[in-house]
Amino acid sequence: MQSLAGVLKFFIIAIAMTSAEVIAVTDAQKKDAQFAFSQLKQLTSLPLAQGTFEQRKYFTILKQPIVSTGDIYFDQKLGLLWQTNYPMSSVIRLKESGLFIKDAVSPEREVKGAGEITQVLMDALSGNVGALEKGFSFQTSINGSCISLIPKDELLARIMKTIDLCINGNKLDKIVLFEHSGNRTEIDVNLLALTKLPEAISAQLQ
Amino acid sequence: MRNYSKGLIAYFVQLALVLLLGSYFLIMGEWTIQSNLLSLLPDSQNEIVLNKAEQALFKDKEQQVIIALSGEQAVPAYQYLQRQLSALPEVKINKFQLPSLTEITDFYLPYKDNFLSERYLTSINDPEVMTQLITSQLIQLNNPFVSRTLAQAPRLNLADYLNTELSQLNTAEVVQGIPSVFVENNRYFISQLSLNIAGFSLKKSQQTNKLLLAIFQEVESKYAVGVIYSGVVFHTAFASEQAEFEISTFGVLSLIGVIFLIVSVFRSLKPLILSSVTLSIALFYGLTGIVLFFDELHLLTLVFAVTLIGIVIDYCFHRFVCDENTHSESSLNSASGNNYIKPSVINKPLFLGFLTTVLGYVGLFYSPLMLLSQVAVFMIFGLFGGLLTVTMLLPHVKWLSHVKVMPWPLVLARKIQQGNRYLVGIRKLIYFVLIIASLSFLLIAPLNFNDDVRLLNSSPQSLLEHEVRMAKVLNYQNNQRIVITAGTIEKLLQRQEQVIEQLKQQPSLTIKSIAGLLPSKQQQQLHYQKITHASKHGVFNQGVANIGLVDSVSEFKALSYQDINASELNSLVTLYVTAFLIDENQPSDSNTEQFALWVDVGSVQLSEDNLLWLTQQSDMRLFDKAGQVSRSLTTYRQSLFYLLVGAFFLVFLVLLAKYGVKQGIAGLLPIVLSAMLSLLFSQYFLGQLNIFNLLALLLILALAIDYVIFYQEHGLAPRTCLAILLSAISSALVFGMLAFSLTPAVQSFGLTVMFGIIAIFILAPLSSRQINADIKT
Repeated sequence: MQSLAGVLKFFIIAIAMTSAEVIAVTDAQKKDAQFAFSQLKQLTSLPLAQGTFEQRKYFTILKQPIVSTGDIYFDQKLGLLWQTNYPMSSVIRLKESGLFIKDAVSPEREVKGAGEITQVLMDALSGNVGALEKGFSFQTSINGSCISLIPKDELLARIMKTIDLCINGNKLDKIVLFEHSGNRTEIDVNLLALTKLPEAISAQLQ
Repeated sequence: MRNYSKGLIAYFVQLALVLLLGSYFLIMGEWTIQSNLLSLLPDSQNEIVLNKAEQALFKDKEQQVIIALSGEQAVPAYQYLQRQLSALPEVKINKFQLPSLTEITDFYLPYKDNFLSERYLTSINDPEVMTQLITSQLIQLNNPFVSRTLAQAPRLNLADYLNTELSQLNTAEVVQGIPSVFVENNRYFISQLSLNIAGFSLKKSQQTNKLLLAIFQEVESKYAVGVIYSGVVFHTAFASEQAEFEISTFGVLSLIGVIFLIVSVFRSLKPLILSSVTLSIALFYGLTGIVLFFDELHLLTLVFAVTLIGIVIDYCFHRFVCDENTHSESSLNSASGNNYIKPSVINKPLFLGFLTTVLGYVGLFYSPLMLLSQVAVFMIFGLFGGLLTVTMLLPHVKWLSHVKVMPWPLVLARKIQQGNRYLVGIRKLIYFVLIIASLSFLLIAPLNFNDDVRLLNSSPQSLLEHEVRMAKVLNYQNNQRIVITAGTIEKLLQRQEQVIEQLKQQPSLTIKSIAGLLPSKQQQQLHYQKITHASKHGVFNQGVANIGLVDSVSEFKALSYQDINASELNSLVTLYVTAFLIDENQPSDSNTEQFALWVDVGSVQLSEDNLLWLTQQSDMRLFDKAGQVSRSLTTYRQSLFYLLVGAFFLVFLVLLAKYGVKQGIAGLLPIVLSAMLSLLFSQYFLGQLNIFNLLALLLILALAIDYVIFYQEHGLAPRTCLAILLSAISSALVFGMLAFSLTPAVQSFGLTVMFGIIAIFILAPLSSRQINADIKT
């Protein structure tokens, strides 16, 4: 009888400890998400801006990253223009009507079904926290210096594992796109708020 | 009495034989019911194969519903809608789910050297451009295939190929995880459903329609969004609800009218019961004829064959009035003495009428269109059954001797007789005026037939607006599809590539097909050879060396239809490609299995050159269901028209042979004029005519023959006038009432029958001979 009571006691203690651990972990995750979101909310809203970027694509198979640089223009109402200047010229235009790509080899063409990543980039660059909140859950990155966005949408989650936004002051400093394959793309950005896009640029986004 | 018994025995013997024979064939025979209008056309073998291919490729479309939501709250509205719809058991929400990137790349990597995009093909001999192509992809943000294929295919030809081909197949952008399109400054979120409604379950269609519309309405009001919906189910449900309403309304009104007519004339329901028995026997004879001569019964045959009802009821009324009128008249009009009319007196015009009508239908039997042949067989057999019953059974039914015509119909009949006498007196004038008037109308407004099947659509305007808006949103308003068939899959894919090559001569076309994801083995080999050749000549060296990788060309291995069908990509392939059997009843073997696919060529009108080229190809054609049905209706209508002309001619010959030139012409004129007037009046009210107006002429012709022959045989006798009056009123009640239908086909039929009956009722007496003799009778 005593041994039965002992077994029961052991089980009760074990269950209580496990639950406490689970509750503690869940609680910590919730707090981390809240903290990450509060950090994200500090991001300055930039409905209109221009700037420069340096992109480094790290492929697990390659020893060196593939580096490219260029200019960014965006207007939350019109869209995003991603102009690569080095090592070769190419332009990505995200408009309400779709995603268009032009490079040194081919004329501009519409790419269907690939606009979502570019849209996320624009939401991150412009500090559109509301849009990001709809599509992602948050946590602080492993090194603690950035906010990790985890896609809620199944289609985006198939392409991207997480997207890290690194904020310096109230400004977005760096975006890192992590793929499931282990490849990642780091993008350093330097943005400047505008009140109006240059005519030539806004014409391209019409 | 002994004679009657012999006749009666003969009747029952033949009836038993027909019942046994018909039952045997109906129950044991391997006949089927066919509902596809196109299946009745006298097609060539190529057309039969293409028809089957189209059925196989697009069979699921009828079960599909597409919904588009727009507005500020479209996303939450969309999510709410999905939740509501997923609760309906008959609804399956089609997820916008492509295979994952890993699945796609893993599938194509073993064949990495078989694929060259347009860009790679044009740069295949230029090392400098090739280097730029590889570099441009490496820095691109939006091509996930680069990352996936770089290690095994660093030339990135596969990454570019897959990115281009999958983008080409995509019609929708994904926004917040929802497929959407942006049209005219509005974003529409798209949901696609498959309905699980088995067979022709109209009741289920109606229920599902109600549930869906209620959900759409709720979403609209709750989230203040716009909802556009499109699907066959909405039209089916509306049409069946309307048909049910009309059938019940018109059916009840017709029945009440006919019962009222019979009770008020005979003060008994016995004639109604006997008519129903005669009609059932006639219909059974008709069906027996069909199963004896044909393997399948088309539903349209039954629609066309409603004419049988009108004629058999006409036969019945002649019998009832003849038999009963004998007693009534003898008692009412003692001055006329014993004017008992023997059955043979009424049998003769009935038989003549039957013979003439059958001669008309014999023409239809030899029509190249199976539908008209079926109608002819059904009518000839049905009328034969009806005639035998009216002439051999009804005279012996004792019930009938107790049925009395009330005095008032006879009084009315005499007044009609007087009116008819007056009209006969001025018949030359009437003919002259009517002929001149008809010809003038024909000159001013010639008969205008429009066979466009869309005009027969009875869907409400609001539903049609939804269809038009959805077509605009999804950009398929005027989308054209080319359907290709072949005996082997390799031949099919090669033909697809030839079509696309031809169509590319018209750069404005937007071509969407499975050709990219499933090229022919021939094309894969060609691309493989190009890559091998370029690789040998170092075209890729610089681009690949820049990233410090090497890419060797592997041994050629072709991607096959079987491979892709067994993979995760099969949902994409089955959307475009299908296998089918030309004859489903034959066991499946490789000799009869065919393959088909379709290519979407967008909404830009094909050039003259392309159209000409297409018409020269026997294994492919532009898919145009509405056009095909319309063209088949034109074929039917033209054949029916010529056969009607032939039938008029045969009737004329019979009348000439029986009654001589003068009375023959006198008999033909009312028939022709009634047909002409009914068409002219129908055109005046409807604006244009269709095959259903001509179909109504079949009934008018058959009734007119009977009326004219009775007037020719019996003159303007009151009993003839009364029988014809009853026949005309009952036909008008049963068929003429259809003129009030909201379904265009039914309305066309009803209106022409109504005008035709009025015309023939007025004009048929003009053919009467023995103007003085009939007064004596």
